Amino acid sequence: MNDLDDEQLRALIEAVRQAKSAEKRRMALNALLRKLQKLPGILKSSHQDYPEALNLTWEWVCRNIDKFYADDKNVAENLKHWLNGYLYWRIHDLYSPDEKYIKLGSEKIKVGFIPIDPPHSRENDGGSDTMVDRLAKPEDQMGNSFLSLIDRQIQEAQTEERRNLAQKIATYIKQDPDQRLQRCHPKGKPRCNAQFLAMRLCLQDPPATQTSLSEELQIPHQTLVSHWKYACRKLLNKIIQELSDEP
Amino acid sequence: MNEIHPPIIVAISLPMHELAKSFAARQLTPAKGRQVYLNTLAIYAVHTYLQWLNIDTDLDQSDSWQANTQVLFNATDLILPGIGRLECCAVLADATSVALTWDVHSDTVGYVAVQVDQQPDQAALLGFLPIDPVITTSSETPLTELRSLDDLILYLDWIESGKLNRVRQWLENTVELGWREPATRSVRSRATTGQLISRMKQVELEGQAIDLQIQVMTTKTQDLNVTVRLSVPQEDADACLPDGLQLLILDDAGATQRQKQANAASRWLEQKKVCKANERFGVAIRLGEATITENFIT
Repeated sequence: MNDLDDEQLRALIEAVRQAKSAEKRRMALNALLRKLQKLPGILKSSHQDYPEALNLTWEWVCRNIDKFYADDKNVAENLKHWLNGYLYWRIHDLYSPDEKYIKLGSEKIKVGFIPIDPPHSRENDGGSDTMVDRLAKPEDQMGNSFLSLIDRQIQEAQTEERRNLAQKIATYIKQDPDQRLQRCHPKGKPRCNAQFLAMRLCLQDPPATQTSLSEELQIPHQTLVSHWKYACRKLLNKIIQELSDEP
Repeated sequence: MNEIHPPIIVAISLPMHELAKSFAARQLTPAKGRQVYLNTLAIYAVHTYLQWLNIDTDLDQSDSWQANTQVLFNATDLILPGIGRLECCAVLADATSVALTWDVHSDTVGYVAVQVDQQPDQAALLGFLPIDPVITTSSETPLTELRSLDDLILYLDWIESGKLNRVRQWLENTVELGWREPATRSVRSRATTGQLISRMKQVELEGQAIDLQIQVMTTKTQDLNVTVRLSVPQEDADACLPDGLQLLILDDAGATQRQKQANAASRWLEQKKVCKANERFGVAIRLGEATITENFIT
């Protein structure tokens, strides 16, 4: 960092402090974040939850930048120390026995409605093959890219049991046992029914376009959109709920 | 790609990858699984960024975070209470465009493009696009057309502060806060070919109550015929508008396009305008030193 960087950082911090409205402050924070994210010397950790510690740090910076004090020179250096002072303790939390930090992260993202596979821990797998370890490299030893690794993990995870609801919904749509879907159509347009639209928009890959459906069904696009959004989706959500409640 | 403003980076942790995998595991096909996996990272990145900036989100209530809903629909929404929804669009590292879907909620206000596979432990927020209310098909939009995240902040603030009325939503029978459906009186119209909807609100200038009524009529194209009418409140039906009251139609930069002025005998003032899709315009009502402005997007 040189004098120019110090000057830029001082101006960016001052812009946040002087902002007279919430949106001006947010725009000033945008500019500051872009600069800070390139600041050399930010603490790193190989812990799998380090990204959460870093995100918490950016949030803390946004909320507390008004309290930051720097002498006239060395703004970048002072800022780095100030930021790392907070990040150090967030990383420290990651290694604390009571896993306080990890619980904090879990509370921020509530996922209680779906069972999550327990995170791999370095202790369990010898510290050499966690998901992040593997994903962190653009290509693994097998020459696989990040996307193909994801694809492979998804395929392994997509067991029959986990895909049960998706399968039940697809079967229901195809069979429409009570004709509930077929009966859901705009007046005088029986072909534009919820079964037909769900097949084309949700089960077909790639999904049909609105234009092609409008032409095929000879129905104005506004009618099609309104019917899909306000009648079909509502009915389909109800059916999803019913099927998911089944034992 | 927006070259002036580099992206903002959000870190992606292992638990988030595990959640994305859990969502993906429930999908019918591997392709849908990948889509849901990448969507989850994009939604989380936008949510996290908005938290930094102290902009409220409601991830728990968003369709995209409902494991059952995702199984059928391609849900990418993130609810911003009091504002609407942002669609969070995952973009691959080698992509030059972002796919925008038309199948969005009526309160969707825009799309945020998020690059998710450059590095697995981070996502890059590239920019945003406001909702195009007449998008007729899922379209690929070049990344070069993305607007900056600063524009996103201004846009969200504009909506949150109630400065932007989304007229095309009214056609879906929504009534935005501060507006109501007129009871009996309506703007006269000879044309009856399209769908017709009216909304009104009462404003007060210099102690004088005035009814502002907006009538919207669809046409055979995406254009909307908009009629703006000022009148005295119904309970004062025999009264006249204040002498000197002005009704101005403004363009998106706030410049006056046309204006009318009431005299001592005026019962109402009216302006008509044909609006293109996604057109912004303003209506200013002025009396003496007082001015009230309402902004609209069609």
